[in-house]
Amino acid sequence: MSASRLRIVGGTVYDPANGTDGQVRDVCIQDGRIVADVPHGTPTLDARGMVVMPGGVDIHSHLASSACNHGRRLLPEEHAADPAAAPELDPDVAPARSGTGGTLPSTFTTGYRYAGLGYTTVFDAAVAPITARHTHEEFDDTPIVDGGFFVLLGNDEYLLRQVEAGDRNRARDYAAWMIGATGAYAIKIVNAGGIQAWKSGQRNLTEIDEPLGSSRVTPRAILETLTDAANELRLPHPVHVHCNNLGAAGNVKTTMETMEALAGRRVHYTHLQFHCYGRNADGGWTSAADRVIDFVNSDRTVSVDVGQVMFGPATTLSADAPAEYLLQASSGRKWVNIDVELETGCGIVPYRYRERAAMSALQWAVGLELFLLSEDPWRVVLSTDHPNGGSFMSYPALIQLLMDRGARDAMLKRVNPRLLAGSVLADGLSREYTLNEIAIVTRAGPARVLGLRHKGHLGVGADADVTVYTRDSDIARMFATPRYVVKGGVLVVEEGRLRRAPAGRRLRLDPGYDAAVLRDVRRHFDAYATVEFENFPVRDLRDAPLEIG
Amino acid sequence: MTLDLTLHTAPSVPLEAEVITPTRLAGLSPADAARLTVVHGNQSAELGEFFRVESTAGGDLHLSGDLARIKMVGAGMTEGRIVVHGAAGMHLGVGMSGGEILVEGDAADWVGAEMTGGRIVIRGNAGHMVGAPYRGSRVGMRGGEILIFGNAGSEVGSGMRRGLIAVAGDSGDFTGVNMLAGTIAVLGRLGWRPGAGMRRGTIVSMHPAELLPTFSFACTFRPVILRLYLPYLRGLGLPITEAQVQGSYQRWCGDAIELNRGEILLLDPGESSATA
Amino acid sequence: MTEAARVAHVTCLGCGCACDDIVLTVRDGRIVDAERACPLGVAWFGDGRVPGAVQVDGRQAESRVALDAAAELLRGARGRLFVFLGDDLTCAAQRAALGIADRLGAVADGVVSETAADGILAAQRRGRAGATLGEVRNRADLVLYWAVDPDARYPRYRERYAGHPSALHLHHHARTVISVSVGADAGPPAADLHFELRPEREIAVLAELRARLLGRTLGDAAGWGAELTRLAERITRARYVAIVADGESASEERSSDRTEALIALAQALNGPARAALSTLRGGGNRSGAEAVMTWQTGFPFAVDFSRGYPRYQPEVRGAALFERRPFAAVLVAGAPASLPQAMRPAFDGVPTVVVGPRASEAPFPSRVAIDTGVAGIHDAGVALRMDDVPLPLRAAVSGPPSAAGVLERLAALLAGGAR
Repeated sequence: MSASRLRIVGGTVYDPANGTDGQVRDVCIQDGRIVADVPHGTPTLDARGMVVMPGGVDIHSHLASSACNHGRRLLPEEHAADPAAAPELDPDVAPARSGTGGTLPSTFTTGYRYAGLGYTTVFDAAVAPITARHTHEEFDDTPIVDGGFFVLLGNDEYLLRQVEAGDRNRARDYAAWMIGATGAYAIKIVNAGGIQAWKSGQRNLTEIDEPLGSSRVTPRAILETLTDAANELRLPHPVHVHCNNLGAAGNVKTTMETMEALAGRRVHYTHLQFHCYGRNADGGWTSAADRVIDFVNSDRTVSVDVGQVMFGPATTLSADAPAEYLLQASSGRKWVNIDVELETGCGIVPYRYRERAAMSALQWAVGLELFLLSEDPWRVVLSTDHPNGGSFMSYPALIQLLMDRGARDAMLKRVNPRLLAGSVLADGLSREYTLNEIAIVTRAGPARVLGLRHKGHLGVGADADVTVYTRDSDIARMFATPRYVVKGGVLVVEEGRLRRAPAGRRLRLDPGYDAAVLRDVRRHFDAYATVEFENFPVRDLRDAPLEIG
Repeated sequence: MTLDLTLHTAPSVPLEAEVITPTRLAGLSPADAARLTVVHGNQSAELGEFFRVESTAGGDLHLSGDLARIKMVGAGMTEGRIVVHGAAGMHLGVGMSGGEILVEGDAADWVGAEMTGGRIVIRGNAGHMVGAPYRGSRVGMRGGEILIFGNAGSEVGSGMRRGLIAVAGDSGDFTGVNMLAGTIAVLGRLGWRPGAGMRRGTIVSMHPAELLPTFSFACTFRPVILRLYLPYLRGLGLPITEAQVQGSYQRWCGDAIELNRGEILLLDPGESSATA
Repeated sequence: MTEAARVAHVTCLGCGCACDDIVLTVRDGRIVDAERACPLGVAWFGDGRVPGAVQVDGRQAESRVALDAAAELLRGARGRLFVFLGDDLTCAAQRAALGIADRLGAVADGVVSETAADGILAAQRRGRAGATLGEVRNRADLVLYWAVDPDARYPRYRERYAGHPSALHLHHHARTVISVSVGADAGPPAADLHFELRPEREIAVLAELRARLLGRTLGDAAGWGAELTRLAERITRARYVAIVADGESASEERSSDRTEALIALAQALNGPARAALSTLRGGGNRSGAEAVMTWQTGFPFAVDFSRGYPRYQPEVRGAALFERRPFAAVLVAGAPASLPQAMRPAFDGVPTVVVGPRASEAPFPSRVAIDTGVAGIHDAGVALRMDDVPLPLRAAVSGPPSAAGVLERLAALLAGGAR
């Protein structure tokens, strides 16, 4: 069924952006958009008794990048263990592709599996500018989902030079040029200055006022410069911040100082779970989720995604190369490190979160505490930092942990309690997310935080991305197998089976800037880059940039 | 009652026949067994297109003909016994957890890769990667026994974590590379660089060997463990001499760039010449 | 005679260096000059003229007829099929060719399985300690050439990536060059320090070096002379070590264990200081082929789709694939000239479709041959440098239809046949 009109009949609709919380109504679609009504005789989908939500929006994933591909190449054993035959599509469309899964599935399989969970929009959260072309090529092979990415600027040599010189305007213009030249959607900061420190032999920057080498550049200065740049450019999504000192005991200090330094500004903090650890008397890890979430609850300009850890296999994959260095040293697993010229780094270590491991259990608990102590689901949204905290395929199990206290407490009894003493979760948290709140943290919230006005809701004019679930007392099963998924008006999942796999759209921006900056950038390229300035921008992209403002 | 499979048509390209396990064939009539699916090139085929299937008395599954192009026989098997009257193709008994496979001829590469239990006996020679991990994975054989009466190729016991591999002839280069634990006994000569990257485990040889500089000599002694293992292997038909059982062995520790808790035991030359 | 056109910022795929600063002068559809190109680059561009034939059974045919014949041949083949991914294709063309292999349940492989597989397998066991070439250029205060002199097969590597440009982080630090020769594989003659090793000592020395740097005790077998002590000491004084090794060495004695030892050494040097292994890779878009196979299948080469999903078969690759019996049909995507020599005899008598540059001049008979443009000369798109940095390819000269276009049409025909 690929008619340009469709009526989804009689479902119980959860559309929090439009104030619809479980009302029974029809959802009408025409030419890929939600419309108020469609003529009599339009094809229908019977959704009576079912749950209707906007398509899922993943604000922070790693799915289409040069770094992901290094991870795929590292893990043939995972791919051999999870073969994915081509799904059988309707006979009127081009046949689907086969692939492999694991924590870093092949591109086609990634698209099919996201859509199979009812997700229709996904962002890759970390792309080095010089590899942007690679990301666009991979997205071209990732069907169904609309995709975009955040471009890594927090350790960029040219940008750091502007920070050193205190030239905020030039930094902003450079950032704007970078977004347009790479086809990105937002600015990403990973471990501000810390990767540059790692590449220079300084190991890391773990405090926000720690200077980079003998310069005046500090994480604070980088964070302020880029946060203001994103806001002055009126980017739909503010700067996307992965704080310094990831994974370390006591890193809550760095996280709180970062939040205080940027207080009052629009900022998004990502995979916050990895940044909320206290330190006990023995130097060991404790949960400090309550302190951080208090701050988030009170500062309404802040949004976060959680970066929940789920038990099972994961692949840690990050521009935060110094953090990956520490992880490979402690885990002894195979390790990829790649220094990316003038821009950033890349580290990859396969990992497994185990119920029996005290550290894994603590990380699991910290994430849940952030969710359960959050007072505003619109600003505390769902992610596992796929595949770092676990695969996106574990989202249904995560939703179950949020909605079903029984399932959560049963799991809590199984995990290693050694580091959980005195934690809020261990003391008992009774909160259960409602379906409306789930619709917020998986759709409406991320779309709003991303500034995607056509996503995450079912109001007239929105993109016709709709997911229909069959009610089930087993929440994980309900969210793992949607009955119908509509993407851009095309019915892609029908009766729980993938039937169509249209190409997704690219979500990118091309902000305006003062072109005077380019003369200086060209000098920088001519002196230090190995790619010609003229060859750097990605050209001939398929979809036009989105409007800003 | 069980089945005899005789190859009547040699496949033009290797046939993947992991259906040939005692469990899959148990209780099937010859006609039903002949309809089982095998993969030939990019096509599915039926077992009967290549094998004549007959039922016989006795508990073993017998395979006859030149099976060098039949891959994955006994893959994942859990119980029972397969006798191959001839050569066996690649990936014999990979991932098996129980039962026994006897090959009267030679076997190709990847015998018993990632097996966890059971026993594989090769009367002839075996190829490379005996008991190895699949590509990218760290851990090879996790249990069971592989006995090779002829020679074995390179990387015997790569990444091995538990179990026993015995080679009556020579072994190729990198025997026991990246071994995590377990025992490899080679009655002939070890190829180049045995034990490279090993963390724990034991490699035994009855001949002198050139070792990596990251192995250091510890002592010469009479290992108790060999007085248990070697008679056991002799009981299984390997040509172990009494001098080898009672002999002194040089103990080398390594690999120093890894955990350094592995050992290579080399029969002391004085002892070996005395028995020659 | 028309006026000459100059096309600047052209990426050269003559070797894996992928220099993107070439200026081509084109006159009357011919390349008459390739400014800044090394001899390999000059040979790569040639005069830019390629045939534009479309043939069925050796006779000129309409392209639609040829594509129908190709689709019919490939669809009708019973038995194993083989799709070869050439390296003179854009990533887009490689993506389309791999889609055809998937559709047909074929075995797909490329150039790297003959030349670089050992290194890839080693990296799959241990990982990588790598850097893009600009990091070598801007940071490495010690460049250690291990059994390779880049000048022969990667002529501009030293000039562009490891020479003495105005490096960003080396203002006050001179760059030291160490040349290690292993048997006949000599390091560069111009170096601050020279070492020579016998090939049979190579892995042992790498292990010894690593053990030293990790502070481990060595056994009595260590042949640690004054020479190597000097080498180890020099390495430990460096802030950023670049170890340069040939990922596609023609030497016989190159095993994945040797590459693994190099990776392990580079990894061990991280911690006390920084280090990267810069692996030299050959020309064309072979890194692109490896990347495309990885993102579409999860495996970098030697992929078998015969079960309806990708399986990794690195032990049955390249020439070994052909040892047993011929394939039922073969699709060569890319220039037939890029086929490894060892594979060619296997094409005798096998129905073959060739889509790529100079397909009509294949050194074996083909049922269908469709000439296309060459990536980066006639076909625009993307190719990956030896360090996986993606670079744009420009269509500097007009030529036959693009390989991506032809392969996408063939893929669409085969997809239609599945209805």
